[in-house]
Formats: sequence, C-alpha cells, structure tokens
Amino acid sequence: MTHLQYVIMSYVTTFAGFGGMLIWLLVNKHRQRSALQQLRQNNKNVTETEDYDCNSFLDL
Amino acid sequence: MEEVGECKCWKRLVDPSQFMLMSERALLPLSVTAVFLLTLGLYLAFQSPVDYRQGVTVKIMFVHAPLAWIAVHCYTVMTISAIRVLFWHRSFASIVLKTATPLGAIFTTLALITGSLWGRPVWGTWWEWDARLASMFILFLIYVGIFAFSRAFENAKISATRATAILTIFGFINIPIIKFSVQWWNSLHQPALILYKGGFSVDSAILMPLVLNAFAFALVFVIFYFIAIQNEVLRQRVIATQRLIAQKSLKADML
Repeated sequence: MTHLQYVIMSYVTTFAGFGGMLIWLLVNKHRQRSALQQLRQNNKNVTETEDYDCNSFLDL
Repeated sequence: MEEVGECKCWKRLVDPSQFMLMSERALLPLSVTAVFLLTLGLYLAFQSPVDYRQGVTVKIMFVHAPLAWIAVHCYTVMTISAIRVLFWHRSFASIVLKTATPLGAIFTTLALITGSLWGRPVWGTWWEWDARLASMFILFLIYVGIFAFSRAFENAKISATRATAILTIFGFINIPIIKFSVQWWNSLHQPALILYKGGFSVDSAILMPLVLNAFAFALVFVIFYFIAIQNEVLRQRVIATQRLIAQKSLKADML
C-alpha cells in the first residue's frame, strides 16, 4: 500500500465511524420516541377503560 | 447576582426536561458549525506542508490526535460525573456517566485504528506493546468494562450506578499514565504534540489545522453526546410510563 492509501483509509475509517455513530444514535432516538408515543396512547386507553369500569360499577 | 444566574443556568441544564428542550434547540446550530469547521479543518489539513521524514502520512495526525484527545477528555468528564453520582447522588450525573461510555469507547477504537494505520508506514508495524499504545488499549478495555457493568444490573438501579461510578473513578488512574507515558518510558510514540518542554512542538502551519480539527471533532462529540443523553432520558421515560400503565392495569384488575 502507498502512504497516500494509508492516509485515505484513516480518514475513511474516522468518518465511517462518525456516520455509523450518528445513524445508531438517530435510530435509537426514533425507537425511543415511537415507544414513548405508543405507551402514552396505551396509557390514555387504560385511563379511558378505567373510567368506563368505574362508571359501570357506579351504575350497578 | 452572577453566581445566582450561573446557578440557575446550571440547574436548568441538569434538569432532564429542560435539558431536552435546550439540547433540541442547540443541535441544529451546533451541527451547522461542526460541518463548517470540519470542512475548513480538512481543507487546511490537506493544504498543510508534508513532513520531511514521514511524508504524506503526517496528515493522519489531523484525525488521530483529536480522536485520542477526545477519548481521554471523555473519560475525565465521566470521572467528574462519577464523583457527583457517588458523593452528591445526582441522577442526571448518572445519565451523563452512562451515555458517555459507548461514545468514549468508539472514539478510543477510532484513535487506535487510525494510530495503527499511521504506525504501519512510519514504524513498520501495525501494533507494538509500547507504553502509550498499551495504556490507550487499557482505556478501551476500561470503557468496555464500564459499559458492560452499567448495563449488567439494569434493575438494581442505584447499586449499579454507584458501582459504575466507583469503577470509573478507579479507572481514572490510567489517564495520567496515558498522558505521561511518552515521558516516563522509552516509547515508539512521538512526545506531546502541542506543548512540549515549555514550547510548541509543531510548526504553526500544522498547528492551526490541528487545533481547528480538534475543535470540530469536539463539537461532533458534543452533538453525539447530546443525542445520547436525550435517548437515555427518553428510555427512562419509556420505563416510567410502562410502570405506570402496569400499576393502572393492576388496579383496574383488582376493582
């Protein structure tokens, strides 16, 4: 390998590392956000079900 | 008055909700600045003169040195957070400590790989068990150890955090060893790059792009760090919401 190839390889490795890290972080962020949104929606549904159960209990 | 202002600002920064807001706002300007500085730094790096002995391989220094500096400084930040966790029981400090570990490990790996790519044409070997190289490798192992340790006891949150903090503080012994290894032992590695024996050890034509690249890489690290902290805060919110739903479901079942 020529000296220039070593230089190119080191720059490519560094920026590939940065790119990989950025993708990993952004994918993780998207996953956490989606999970939180879904859970909040579920939480809302649980609250609504709870209200319904309470009402039906009072009706009795 | 200034102290009070600073204190408020610090409190805002260490409050997870405030941090999420502030970091979200800061990410775009930071990213634009980082891209600009990286472009300028790389342009100046390739414009700088080649070394009379190493030739063009000296250009590897512009990525290798900043990566190694950040890897070491990241550990220092982790140690400060570990002290805050251990003695002041700060929950945000534990997030800061936990999220820095994988980033530090990756920066150390990149520093080791680029160092190896520099060593092969200059020293004639990919790796040598020399003091600086070995201490950097130990730093990588410490990062991996802390990463594994902090995630091994996910449920025993408090004890795992404290144990991780203790391990981090012990691991800090390696940082001065990395710094002074080239002075304490005979090393293949070159001595300190910027300040050596009271003066600059490199010419300003090389120093300028090197400092610029170091600053750009530090900004890249800060951006990654902000996103990693945001992810951890979100993850903890997910866990808290899961617990809340489970409690509600349990209550509903009991009724």
